[in-house]
Amino acid sequence: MTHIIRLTLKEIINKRIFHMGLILTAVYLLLYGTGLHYMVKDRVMTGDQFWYAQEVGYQFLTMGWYFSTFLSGALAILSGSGSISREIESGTILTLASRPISRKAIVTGKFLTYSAVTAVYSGILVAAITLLVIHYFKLLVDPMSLLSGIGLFMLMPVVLLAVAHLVSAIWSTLAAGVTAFMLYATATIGGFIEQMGALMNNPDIINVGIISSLIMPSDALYRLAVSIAGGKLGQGAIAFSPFGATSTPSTAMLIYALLYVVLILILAIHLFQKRDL
Amino acid sequence: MLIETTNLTKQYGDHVACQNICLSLEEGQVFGLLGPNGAGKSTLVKMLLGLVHATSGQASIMGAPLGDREAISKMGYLPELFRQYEWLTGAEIMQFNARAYGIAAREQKQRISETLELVGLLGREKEKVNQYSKGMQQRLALAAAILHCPTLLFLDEPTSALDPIGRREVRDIITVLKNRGTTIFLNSHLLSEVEMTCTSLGFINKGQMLHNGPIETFMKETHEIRIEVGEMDHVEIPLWMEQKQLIADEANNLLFKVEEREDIPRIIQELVTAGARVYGVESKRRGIEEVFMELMEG
Repeated sequence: MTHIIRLTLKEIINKRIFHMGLILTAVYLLLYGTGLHYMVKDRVMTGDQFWYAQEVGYQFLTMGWYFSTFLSGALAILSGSGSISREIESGTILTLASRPISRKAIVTGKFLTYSAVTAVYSGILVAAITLLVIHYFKLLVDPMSLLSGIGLFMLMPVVLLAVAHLVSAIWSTLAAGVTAFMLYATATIGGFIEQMGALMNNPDIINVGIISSLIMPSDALYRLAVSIAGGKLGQGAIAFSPFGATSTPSTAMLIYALLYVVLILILAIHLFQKRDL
Repeated sequence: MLIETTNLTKQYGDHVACQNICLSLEEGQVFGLLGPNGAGKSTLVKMLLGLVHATSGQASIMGAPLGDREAISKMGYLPELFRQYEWLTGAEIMQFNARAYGIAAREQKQRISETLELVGLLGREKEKVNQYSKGMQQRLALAAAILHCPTLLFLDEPTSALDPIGRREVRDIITVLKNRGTTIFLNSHLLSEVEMTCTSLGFINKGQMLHNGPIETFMKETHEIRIEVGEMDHVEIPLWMEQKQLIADEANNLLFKVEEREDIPRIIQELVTAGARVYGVESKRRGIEEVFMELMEG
C-alpha cells in the first residue's frame, strides 16, 4: 500500500489543480483577513465593547469556518471523484492493477492519501481563519476546545471524499463528482433546515435535518465541530449564529460518521474488486 | 503447463467476448494470438491477468488461480493502451515498478539502467513522460513490464506505436527474452511479426478459439503453386487434384495448395500426362496471412 500512497502523493503534488487550489486558498484568506481588518479598524475593544467584540468575533469565526467547508468540500469532491475512475478512463489502471498490488491496496491507499491531504488542508485552513479572528477581535478561546473542533472539522471533508471515492470506484469521474456534490448539497440544505427548526423549536423540522445528516453527515460534523471549537466562551454566540449550531448534533453522530466512512470504504473495496477493468 | 484454461468464458450481458476458450501453454513458448479487432484477444489476456473476471470456466497460471498475487509478481504485462503517469519521469515510473515488483533496493538502479538500455531509452529517463513521443511511451511501458525478468510476459499489440526500426527492436527484445526462458503471450495484428517471433499460434474470432498449436502445424500446408497452362478444354484434371488440392482456377492459371513440397512435381507430371501444356510454374510459400484469412473467412 505504501507504493500507492507514495504515488498518489506525487500525483497530488504534481497536479496543477492542487497548485491552483493553494493559490485560491491564499486569495480567500487574504480577502477574509482584509475584511476583518476593515471591520475592526478604528474600533475600540475595551470595556463593554470588548465583550461585544467577542460576540461579533465568534460570529465571524463561524462564518469563516462555514465558508471554509465549501473549499474543503470542493477539494474532497474533486479529489475523490477521479481517484479511481480517472485511472480507468486514462488506462493507467491496467498497468497498476496488473502489478502485484491488490485492488484493496489501490482503493485504501488512494483513500488514505487523499483523506490525509484534504484533512490537513482543512485543518490548516480553519486554523488560519481562527488565527485571523483571534488577531483582529482579540478573541478569547479555549485552546483545547478549539483544537478538538479543528480535529472534527478535518473529518468533514473525509466523509465527502469517501462517497466520491466509492462512486469513483464503480462509475465515471463525472458521475462520482455529481453524486458527491448532490449529497453535499443535501446535507448543507438539511443542516440549514435543522438549524431553522431548532430556532423555531420545531422537532419535525429538526428531524428532517437529522435524516439528511444520516444520508450525508458532513454538515452535522461541521455543526459539531464549530460547537465544540467555541467551548464555553463562544457557546452563546455560536448558538445564535446562522453559521453556528443552534441544534448541536450529539457525539453519536461522530461515531456514526466514523462508521459511515469505514463502511463506505469497505463497500468501495468490495465493488472495485468485482469490477472488470 | 504455465497457462491452462478450460472453457473460459466472458460475457457482457448478451455479448460474448470469449467463449469456451481452452488453451494450454508450456514454458518457454512464444505464443501468438491472432484475430481481428473485437475478436476477444485483449479480453482473454485481461482474464488471465485477473483484470477481468471470467463468467464461467476454469483457468490457472503457474498452477495458481487467476488473480493470484504470487503468480502476478512473476508476470509482466504491456497493455494495448500503454498509458503511463504523465507527471512522472521515466526513471520514476521504473522505480515505482521496481518497488511494486519487490526488486531489492540495491539492485534497482542497475536493473533499471539495463532495462532502459534494452528498450533504447537510456539517457532519456529524467524526462517527464508527457515529453515522450508515443513510441517512447510504448518502449517505457515495455521496460516496466520486463524490469523484473518475468516468467510469463503478456504483450498486447507491443509495436502499435512504433516505426519499422522500433518494431524490429521489439522483435529483437522478444528474442532476447525467449532465449532467457521467458514465456511470451503475444497479441498482435501484425501477422509478419507473429510469424517471425512465435513458436505457437492461436486464432480467435468472435470470442472463439478456432485453432491453436505449434506454428509448424499451420505452416505445414503452406505451399501454394500457380501453374500457367494452355487451353484446358480437352484436359481432364485427375479427381484427387480437383477434390483435394485445387483451390481455384483463373484464366490459364491453376492454383494449388499442397502439403508436401514433393507434391509439386507430381502435380505437374499428372497435368502433362493428362494433356495440359505447362508454360510456367510459380511456387510460393504461404504465410500466416493466408492461413489467417482462410480461418477468418471460415
